[in-house]
Amino acid sequence: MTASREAPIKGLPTPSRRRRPANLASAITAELVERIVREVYPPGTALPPEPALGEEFAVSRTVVREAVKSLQEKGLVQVRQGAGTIVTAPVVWDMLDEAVLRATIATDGSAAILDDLVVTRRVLESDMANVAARVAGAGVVEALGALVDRMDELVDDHLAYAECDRAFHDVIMLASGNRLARGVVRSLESQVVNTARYMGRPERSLCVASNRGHRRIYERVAAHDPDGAAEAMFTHITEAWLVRRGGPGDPERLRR
Amino acid sequence: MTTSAAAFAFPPRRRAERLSVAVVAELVELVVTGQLAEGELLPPEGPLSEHFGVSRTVIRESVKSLEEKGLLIVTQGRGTQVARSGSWNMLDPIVLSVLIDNDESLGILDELTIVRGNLESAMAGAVAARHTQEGLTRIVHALEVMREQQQESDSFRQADVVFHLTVMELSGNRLAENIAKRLYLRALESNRFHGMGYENAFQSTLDEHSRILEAITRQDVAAAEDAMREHILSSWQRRRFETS
Repeated sequence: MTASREAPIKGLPTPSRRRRPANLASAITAELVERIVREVYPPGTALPPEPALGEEFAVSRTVVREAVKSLQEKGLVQVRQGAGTIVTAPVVWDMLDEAVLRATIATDGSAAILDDLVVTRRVLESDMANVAARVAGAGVVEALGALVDRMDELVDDHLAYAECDRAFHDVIMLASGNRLARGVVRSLESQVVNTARYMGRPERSLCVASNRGHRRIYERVAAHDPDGAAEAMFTHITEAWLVRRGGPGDPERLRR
Repeated sequence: MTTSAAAFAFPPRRRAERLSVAVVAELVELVVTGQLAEGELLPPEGPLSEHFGVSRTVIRESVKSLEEKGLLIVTQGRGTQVARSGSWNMLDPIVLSVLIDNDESLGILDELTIVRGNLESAMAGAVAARHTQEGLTRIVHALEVMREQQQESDSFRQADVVFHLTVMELSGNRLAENIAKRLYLRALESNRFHGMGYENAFQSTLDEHSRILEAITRQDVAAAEDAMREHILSSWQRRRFETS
């Protein structure tokens, strides 16, 4: 029973009422994040004052204040005494924040931000594959082998395939022992797995090609060949993206 | 001094928010440093609120914040558990700060240096592949400033940072720039991270930076990548030995 946990404490609002403003604030935060990323409020300019925002969204100032505080935590605005709430330069934004990254990807019509993401992911994962090939024990090698075999069977089921795909990459990242590098890749990934432009068409041939890349990585890790494993990871991420990638822009930047 | 009128006008929520910031910081530290072990149950709200001297509301708010950072798992009926470190959000500013502050035992700066080395190496390669004359002039200038500041370690260090930030900016990779820059600037706040006390510190830093610039100038992508990675990893090794 959860009744006792949810019971209102004397003098405090009931749980359902407590939750509402938080949800409201996060909805307003998301809207403001999007406006900032789309440069409706360009860097260096002030956000509309709290009362104006409260009126526009029909919420209390407390809710607006909460949303602004959350923008501040994401590095999007700076509250300056007397000058109001100023939008900061994009370079100080927390790009790995869910809302910020989502809005950035949505706003970017070209594939440029996704190219950047692939380049970033690729260099980190190649290096982690290098380390994994050096340190991987029998358990890791076995797990990778099992996942590659499993993916061969799943090429017609792209959803199940994608899940194994992520697990495969994660085994390597965990084996590398670099928690921070893994954290960066996982944050980047969590925002794009739901992006059609990143995931591409669910086609059998793409899964088949992608798993050839996985098998090559697995073999290099199993052979404890660090350079080979890094190269295989680099090639896999690049090629898998180039076949998915459509749209304008210059894929040349992905080549080395 | 705050006047009593001003204190009175201060909205009470702000106070609660500030309290929760302090409680969050302390709880994050307990988890990240392993004083509360993975899988361990957090004490109930009552004792926690007594321990920190804050209301249950503040405790609840703080626990929620740690849950969002992936540090705690709240399960109905089973209480609140410390999450496995694999699910912690290492890049959350507070989590990262605590990790860096406790680097001696946690070794996060080694990991951070590898991430930086990789990202900046990719960015240096991108700059080697394509840059304008104006961009190149900015890097040349940044290196000149470093040379001029050799007698002054603070200014030298600043010029060093400017050199790195310039290369990142010119890469045009907004994501890699953003991530590397945030990690770099946060690491710079740690005393363990910088140090120019080792032998030939100025000269080796200058030499390595020149090598990066040369590779960029002759548009040698692989050499620029290698020079940047090598510089970041080896200068950390030198500083690391100095501090330990």
